[in-house]
Amino acid sequence: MAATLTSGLTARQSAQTPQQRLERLYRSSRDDVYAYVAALLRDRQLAEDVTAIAFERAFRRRGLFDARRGTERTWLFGIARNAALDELRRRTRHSPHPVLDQHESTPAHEDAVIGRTLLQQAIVGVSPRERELIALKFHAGLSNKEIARVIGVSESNVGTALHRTITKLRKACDEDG
Amino acid sequence: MRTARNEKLSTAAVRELEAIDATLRGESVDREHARLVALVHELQESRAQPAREFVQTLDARAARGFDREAGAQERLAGRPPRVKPGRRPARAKRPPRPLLAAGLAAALALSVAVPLAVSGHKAATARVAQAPAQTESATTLTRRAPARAANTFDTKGPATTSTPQAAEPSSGPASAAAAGGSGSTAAAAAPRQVERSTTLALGVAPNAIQSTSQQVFTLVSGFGGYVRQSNVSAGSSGQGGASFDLRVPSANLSNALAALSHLGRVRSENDTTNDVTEQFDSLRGSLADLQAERSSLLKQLAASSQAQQEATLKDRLRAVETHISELRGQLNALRNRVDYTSVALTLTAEAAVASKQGDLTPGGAARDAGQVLQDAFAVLVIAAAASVPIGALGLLAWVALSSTRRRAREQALDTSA
Repeated sequence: MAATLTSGLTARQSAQTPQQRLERLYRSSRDDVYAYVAALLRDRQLAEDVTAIAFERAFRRRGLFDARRGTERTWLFGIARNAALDELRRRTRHSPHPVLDQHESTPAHEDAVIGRTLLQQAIVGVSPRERELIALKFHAGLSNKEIARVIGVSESNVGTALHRTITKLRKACDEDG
Repeated sequence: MRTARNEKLSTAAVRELEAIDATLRGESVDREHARLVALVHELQESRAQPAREFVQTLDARAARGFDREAGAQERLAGRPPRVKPGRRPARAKRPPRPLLAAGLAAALALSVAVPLAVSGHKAATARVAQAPAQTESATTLTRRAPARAANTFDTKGPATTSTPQAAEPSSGPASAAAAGGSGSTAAAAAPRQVERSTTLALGVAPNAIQSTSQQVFTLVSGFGGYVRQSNVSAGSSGQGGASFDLRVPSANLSNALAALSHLGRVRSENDTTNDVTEQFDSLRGSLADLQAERSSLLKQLAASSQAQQEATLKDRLRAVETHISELRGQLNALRNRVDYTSVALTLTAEAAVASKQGDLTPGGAARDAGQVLQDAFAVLVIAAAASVPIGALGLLAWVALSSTRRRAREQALDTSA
């Protein structure tokens, strides 16, 4: 496992201990993981819990990271995805509690507010998988290759689905606008 | 996204995807994609931001390396409950542990393999565990009866000697109770009378046949037994063997067998038991009847005044006494078989045992080492053989569990709309 920990990493990364690399990963990915989990769960409180669980698991399993199977970031998002989907499984046994708090930033002008509202409605209208794709691409900033690793499909498949989702969003916004 | 088909993207679609990636990288794109760029920015801005309090808490936990205990306590103590009533809290489930499963499988395999591998030495090992103290006690006792052992063994030359030992004891440990035929009360309370016989085959080093035979005599005498018959052959070629017909007090049988087993490698051991309680009781009953008849005849004889009647009574008395004598003989023989167990011991020359007979030479040490390695290899082979199916089953179970969990997760995502 020690060999796999260092393979595929840069020289600077290799010089760091797994703990140090994980701390760096935490600092760079904390908000991205939260945004992704929040998009999946659509519940801020649960998203906080699941984000904490994801990092807890990542710290505990840092010895299991295998660089041959992807970057540390994809590994972390895989853990976060599993934790979030486990929470979704639990939630299906009870009444759903959706409603992610709306964006809190103050809009500069009215058009922006209208446009953002339309987009929020459009996002709510797409399927959960498409919403996950949006979160990974635009909220977490993962590349198509990384997304493919996280959700377990091919990279071209990700491109196809992403384009279809964007088209659907544009169409929804245009129709409502 | 597993349901998405891998469709061929049009050139326009590819360009739009490239424009999206360029926008995300902060690069400029063609004006024709202005609407798309705006959408990308809006999507980025729609990203949820974590609350400041949560970020501070998480940062503090990260600084401590996400100590699980501390995290749980922190949740219980400091933070408001995040779970709505009627819902189970989100918790870190323990992940499947293939290594743990494999470890368990290996442990199970070893627990099966090791006894199998050492089964060849099991009896000897068990006996050796209790033998030293018993051997010591036998040695002490030997000093009291050295004559028997010395007289019953011919150590000269390669010729085969056969030395019957007729010096059976006059009475066994329990013969006093049986000699005169005790009452029915005693018979009712008496334990079962069991006749036992044992055959024990030992492998010994070829050059140790004679010395081991000598030890057999010493040990058996020490345990209060005797050698009824022995046959020892030892040749100059190192081949040979010995057979003994031993009588060992049944009370000391287990200790004696343990000590005997310590003399070599146990090749086989067989115990036979035969409950002779009924036969024993029948003989004692018949004896009691005859003794009563004899008393009656004696009384009649004393009271008789006629010569013819006297002669008849005397004839009858002689016949009864003869019968009593026969029954006593049978009873004593039976008692002797119960009190003394017959042990048929054979010693066979075995080269592999040579190293276990105190061969403290480099060659002996090398043989020891080779034997240990051979045994260890055998254990490994058996363990591997047992591990393969168990490991395969464990792996299949793990794969099935993972697959089921993965499907359940994907299904949860699909139904989360």
